Amino acid sequence: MPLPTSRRQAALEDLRNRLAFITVAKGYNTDAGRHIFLGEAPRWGPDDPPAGLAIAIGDDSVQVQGGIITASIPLQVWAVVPVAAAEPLVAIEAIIADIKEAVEIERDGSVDRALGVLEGSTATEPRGLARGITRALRREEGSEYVGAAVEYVATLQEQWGGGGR
Amino acid sequence: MDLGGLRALVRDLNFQAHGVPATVIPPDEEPIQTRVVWLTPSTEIVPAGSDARRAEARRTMGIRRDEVPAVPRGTLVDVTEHGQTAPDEWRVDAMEKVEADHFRVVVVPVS
Repeated sequence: MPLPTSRRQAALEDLRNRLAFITVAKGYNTDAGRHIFLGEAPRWGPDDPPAGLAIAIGDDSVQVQGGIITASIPLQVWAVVPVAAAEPLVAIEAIIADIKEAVEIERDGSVDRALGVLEGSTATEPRGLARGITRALRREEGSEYVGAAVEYVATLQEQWGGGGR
Repeated sequence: MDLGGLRALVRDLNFQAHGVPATVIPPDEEPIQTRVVWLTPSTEIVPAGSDARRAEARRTMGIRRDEVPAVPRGTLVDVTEHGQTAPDEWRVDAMEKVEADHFRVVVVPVS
C-alpha cells in the first residue's frame, strides 16, 4: 500500500488498520475485521464470509481561518454479523463492543483520541477523534444476520494549498 | 353447492405433488409426521438501513392445518430443501399467512 499522501488518507487507513484487529484470535467477539470495505457499500451473498465491516465516509464540515482549514469528517463503521436466531441482541452488542474497543483502545490498554500519523505528527488533531451515535440494526424475520453502526468524527487541520497536508 | 370436499381434494393433491415428508415438532408437543411444501424463497437485503448488506434467502413453507393445528414460533421442522441434504432442521421464525387449510411460516435453519 502506498504511503498516505494526505491527513484524510492517513486517518482513514489507520481506522481500517485498527478495525482489522477485530478477530476472535485477538480476543474479540467476532471475526468481522477480516473483511473490511473502505469507501464502498458491499452486498455480500451466501458464499461470502459471514461477518464484515464497511467504512462509510460522510460529508465533512469545515471552518476556515487564514490559511488553515479545520475539517470534521464523519466516519461510519457498519457491521454485519451472523446471529443465532434466539440471541440477536447478544450479537449486536458484541460487534458494537468490538468496534469501540478496536478504534478507541491501544494494545497497551491506553485510550487513543487521534487517528493516523503523517510526517511525525498525528493526522488528526491530537484529540481529534470523537464518537458519535451508535445504531443497532435488529434481526428481521427469517434472517440470520444483524448489523450495527458506530459513528466517529475525525477532526483534522489542512493547510490551504498543501494538498491535504 | 358445498365445495369443501373439492377443496380438501385439492389440498391433498397439492401436498402430495409438491410436498415433502417432514416432522413438525411444536414446543413441548409430540412430533407430527406430515408433508410440507417449500415455497419459492424471496431474496432480502439485510440488515435494513445498513451500508453493509447481505442478500439472503427468506424461506417459507406451507404446513397443513388439519395435521398440524398449531405452529407457534419456535416450532422445529425436520426436513431438507428440494435437492439439498443440509440443513435438515428448521425453526419457525414468523407466521407469514394463515390460510383456511394451511399456514405459511417463515423458517430459519437451526445452527
